Amino acid sequence: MAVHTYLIAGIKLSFSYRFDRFFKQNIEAYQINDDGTYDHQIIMSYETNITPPSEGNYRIFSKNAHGIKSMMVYDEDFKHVKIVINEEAFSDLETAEYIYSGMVFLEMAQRHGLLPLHSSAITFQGEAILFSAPSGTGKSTHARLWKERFFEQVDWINDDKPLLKLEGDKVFVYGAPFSGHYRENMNQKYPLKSIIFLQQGSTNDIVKLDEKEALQRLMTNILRPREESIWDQSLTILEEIIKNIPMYLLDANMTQEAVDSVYHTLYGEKQ
Amino acid sequence: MKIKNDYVLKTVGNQFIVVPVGKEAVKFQGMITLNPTAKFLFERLKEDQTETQLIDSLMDHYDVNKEIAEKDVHAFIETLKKHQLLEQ
Repeated sequence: MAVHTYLIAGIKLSFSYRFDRFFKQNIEAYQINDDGTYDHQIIMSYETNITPPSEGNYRIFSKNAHGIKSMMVYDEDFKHVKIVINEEAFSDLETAEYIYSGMVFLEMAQRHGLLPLHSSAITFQGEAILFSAPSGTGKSTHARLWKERFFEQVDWINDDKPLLKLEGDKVFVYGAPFSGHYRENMNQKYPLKSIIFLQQGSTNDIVKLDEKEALQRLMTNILRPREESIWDQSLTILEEIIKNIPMYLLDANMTQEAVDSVYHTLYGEKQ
Repeated sequence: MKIKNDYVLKTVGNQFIVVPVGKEAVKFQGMITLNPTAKFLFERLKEDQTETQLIDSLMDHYDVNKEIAEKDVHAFIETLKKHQLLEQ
């Protein structure tokens, strides 16, 4: 397992992965020269009999009747995190590696003022549009409809949990290589134009969310902090988003009419 | 009665919300929004209070009659109990 250094959303990460499936021809876009320094380090460890350490911080991710399936051992501020996976407890180790390293990276990112939002983020006309919903609702599908419709005018920043950051008084959306099943992502940042919350439906009606509804929906789709100082960082971004970014709820079916609804609302004309 | 230390009051724009930290962050996945009355009572309950003390505080601060104050305080405490926000 070769160790490389990556720059993801402004965070210098030292990481070595074992399985190519999700990382090869994906994470290279984030690779930088290794000068021995990093903000955070993730080490993957595959063991057959996992016991919690006798001292230091650890968090068990998953257990079964036989014992610990996966856990992480971490130090202060998550500078060094070791993810321990029981080789015999997972039938799909590649996916386990991808998901756990992604989860841990997001917790690291939160500590730097980045807000992960469960959404499919595309770029269109120089700005980022995010389609947010719980898993299985159809956000990737909706993003794909935009790609079908507008071809090279659309690209993915991230298809699972793009990272939002406040820079000055503007909100930017950053890509990362941890990007869900389809892995679509780019190592770029774009200014946020709008967030569209999706629910499965048939009308394609779109309504603007008021501050209360917007906060509720955002809270459902962010990575929830566990420490007060990190809540403060996340809430600062949320406050800015609620104040300045128009957000909508779309009752979406799986057709181009759903795209029409959003396009018309955001750009004010029928396409 | 006192609210668990792991629940903190935060302001987002002009909304008051309560978020969990520490051990409660793992258990509690929801979000609580507070209206101004609830926010007032929540802040009082950061220190040990009896129901009577809360009612008196509310009456002082808001110029409402005892009946309304009792109703509001009682309803709020029931909500806190339901979501297990009070220290045992």
